[in-house]
Amino acid sequence: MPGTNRVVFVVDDEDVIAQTLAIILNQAGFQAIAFDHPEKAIAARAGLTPALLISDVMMPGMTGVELAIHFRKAQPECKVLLFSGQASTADLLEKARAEGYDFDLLSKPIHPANLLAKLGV
Amino acid sequence: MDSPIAPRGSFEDEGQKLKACEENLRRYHQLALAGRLISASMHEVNNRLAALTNLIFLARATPDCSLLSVEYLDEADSQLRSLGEITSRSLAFIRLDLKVKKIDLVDLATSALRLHHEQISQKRINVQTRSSESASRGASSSRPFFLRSDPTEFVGTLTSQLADALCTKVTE
Repeated sequence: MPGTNRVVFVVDDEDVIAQTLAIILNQAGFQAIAFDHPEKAIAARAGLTPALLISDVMMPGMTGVELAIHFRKAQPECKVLLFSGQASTADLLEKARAEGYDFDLLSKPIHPANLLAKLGV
Repeated sequence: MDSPIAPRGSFEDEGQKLKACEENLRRYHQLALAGRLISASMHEVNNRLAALTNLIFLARATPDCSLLSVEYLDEADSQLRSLGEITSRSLAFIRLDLKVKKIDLVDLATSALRLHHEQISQKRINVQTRSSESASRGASSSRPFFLRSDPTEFVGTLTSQLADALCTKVTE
């Protein structure tokens, strides 16, 4: 990931996934922070401007797509990577696309090696 | 000579039609429930797989991990990838409707009552309907009712179970 901002927000309601992914990213040179709820990531954005948001899609309370739209509105330069294992996610992405938001979607489970390759590590 | 024109469907035929509809609806509910159960289970399995994949990756990257341990971890990783393909295929097959829909509550309740008419009549339940103006304005209302799941399934099941519950209560 080019640029000096290496802050990455990792959001997944499964805390183990968010935590382990953040550790892997930190070991690869990023400043990753794990969140187990989208609202916590939104609250943290007030003090930090992440270069990248990595989020699960199917979460209670708010979907990853809704979270991504929130981040894009507040910070248009923030890159977004969504991951999901459900085909139903396509409907949510389609709706977002109709509203002018296009996001990359990775299939869950993502292998860390593949994710790092995607981030250019 | 032409055969005499068969009389149009009798009340009995209509009743049979409704009964067949009710049975089909029940089967549809069962299949939908089975699909949801599989989807929820696969989603959970997928989450555990993602966590295990990350943990194996971290363990493998530990500096004091022996060559033999790396071999074992690589094999575990390969097994998990295969399992991941199975869950991904299963989840790709199941498609939950997440679209939010506008519905007319009165239409929905009326169709559920019509569908379960036979069951309701058999149990000698007297149904009186009453609806507010805002509900009958339905989808065109300024405050329409929004649902994210299949409302037909929900109201149909509710009506059927209500008829059963009322009958139990009366016979008690």
